[in-house]
Amino acid sequence: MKRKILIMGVLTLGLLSINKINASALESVSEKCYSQYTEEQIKYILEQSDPKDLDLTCANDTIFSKEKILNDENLNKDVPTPFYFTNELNVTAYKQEKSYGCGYASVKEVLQNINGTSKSQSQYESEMGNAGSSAVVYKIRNILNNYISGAKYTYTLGNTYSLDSFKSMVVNSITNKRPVIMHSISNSLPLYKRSSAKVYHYYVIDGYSYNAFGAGEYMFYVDSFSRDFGDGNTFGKHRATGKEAFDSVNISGRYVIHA
Amino acid sequence: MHKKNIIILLVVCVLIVSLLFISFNNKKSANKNEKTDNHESLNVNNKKDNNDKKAINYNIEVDELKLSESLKSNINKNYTYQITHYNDNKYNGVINKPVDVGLGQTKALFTYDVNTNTFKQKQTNFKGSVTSFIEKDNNYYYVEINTITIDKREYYSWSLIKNNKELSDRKVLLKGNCSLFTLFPELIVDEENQDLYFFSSIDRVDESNNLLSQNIYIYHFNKENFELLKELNYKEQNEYIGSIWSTKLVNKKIFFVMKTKDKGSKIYLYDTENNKIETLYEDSKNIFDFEILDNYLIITLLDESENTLIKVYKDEEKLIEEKLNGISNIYKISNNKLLIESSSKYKIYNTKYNEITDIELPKDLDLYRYSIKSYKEDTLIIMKDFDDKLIKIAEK
Repeated sequence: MKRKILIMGVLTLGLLSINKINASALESVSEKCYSQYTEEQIKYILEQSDPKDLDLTCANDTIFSKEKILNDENLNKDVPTPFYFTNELNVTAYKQEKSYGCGYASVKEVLQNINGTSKSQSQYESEMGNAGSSAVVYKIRNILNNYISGAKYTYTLGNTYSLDSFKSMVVNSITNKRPVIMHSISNSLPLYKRSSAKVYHYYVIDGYSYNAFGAGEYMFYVDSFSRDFGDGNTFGKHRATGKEAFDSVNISGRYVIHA
Repeated sequence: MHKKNIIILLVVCVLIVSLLFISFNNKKSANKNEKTDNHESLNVNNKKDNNDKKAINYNIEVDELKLSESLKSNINKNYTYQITHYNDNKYNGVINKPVDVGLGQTKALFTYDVNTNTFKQKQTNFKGSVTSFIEKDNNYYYVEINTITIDKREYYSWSLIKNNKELSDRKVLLKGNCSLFTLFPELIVDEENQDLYFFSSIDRVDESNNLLSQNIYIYHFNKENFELLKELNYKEQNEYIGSIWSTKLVNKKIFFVMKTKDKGSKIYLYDTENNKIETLYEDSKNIFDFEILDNYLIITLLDESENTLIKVYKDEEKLIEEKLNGISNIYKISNNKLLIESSSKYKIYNTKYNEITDIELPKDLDLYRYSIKSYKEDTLIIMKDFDDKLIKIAEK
């Protein structure tokens, strides 16, 4: 019996030692957290990384320092995410060819988006029978419906909507793959707020956001009017809140052309 | 006996292996907990930092504009108007007939004397839309905008007009053409020194809208006329002005934004007293707007996604850099406060505390619907058809 106890004791000690050896082995593996890289690869990593970002002791189970890891985790935590996802039709903006031509440019933008092809702005101007002056709302509706199959367009006075029903209308129209043409006074849009003149203008809403407040908190639009000198970066496709977009048509005599 | 020993040995081995397994897991958990504890304590510290921020409370008072009654009773409700200039004693503005697209067709100019509560409007056949109007020394000075075709391309044709109060003696003082709506010229008033300046640009573009030439002109009002102070041409440096909207006059210095060849931008300062130009600020991003509060410079920059970065500098030292959603507009409330409008929400930057804080507006005030401008210390004027107001924002 004593012999058995002695054997058991030796075995136990032996196993514990193995545990310790294994632990050491594990530790030594985690220390070399870059052991999967070749020497060449390590050299490249060292060249490409800021030395301040590295900790080759692998104290954090990576080659990066604690400061970098924490910094990366908190990098954009203060930038509020305005939406979970967006539904956008990605309408291409075309610069309007005449000072009064935003309506014709909007027609081109919408038809190009729906059909993949479109005529020139001047051709639409001619077809709509308003050559030399701005597009008329119901004629925009007519010409759009002439050229599309499926969901058709109608027009509605902007100030018959509430904010919520306006958002619903935009969501429905975009869901039907129909960009919304806004016959607006654009000064409520953030880009136009500094203008000292009131701007009567057509622009096209081609998307909306979805976030904790629901759909349409933000809307995306393309503007045929605002364009810098050959520089499309600043002007073209923009974002405004649903409120700002609504306010641009929630005015007597302004319309929304939608599906 | 032999079998019994084997069984005992097996049991002991199982126990030992179990012990090993448990101890290994415990070690892993201990490491994980250590990490988590550190992270949580970081968050707690952050919260604590937030709690340490001083709570700044603002009092917001909304007042009707004295002009409003006169506007409601004198202007046809089917028309619209723009207030183009104001101070404690008077308002100047234009009355427009709405159009389908473009700028309103101007029908009349109006003036309002605050002290005598006298509203006057004068009509004439304007040769375009009036975008900038001021009454000065018994004359009217205003900018008329029209369109013109040059080399098969449409431009905006602007004219600086001098007229008498009867609008019967129209004289064109200056004129030019610009290709962008954002380059309409501006009359800039220096209330403190009773001075007036005119800032304009003339440009040419090719078929692809690339800039071929651009000249910028700064004029000073002198004895019923405007004298050229400075002509600028930045073609050699590949710099150009994209918008005159953010141009400002502060302490006899005119500040304006230029875009640079590498898609950055600069704020230039023209000193009207010594006729010199300096660079106030330069950035690799697109400067959207800026304001000067005493010796603080606040800048808003737009990135490619049209999100805003707001930066605050004091004596060239950056104090704040903060990201905001979408295009944000800023309005000077006073020499130490700035209103920030971002995605229909509002904040105030206060130099006294060097902080940007959210503010809550009165529930019945949809401020995003209004055009907002500085009025006087602690007060903004907010404008929307027949619903103009003054809002006073002061610390409680």
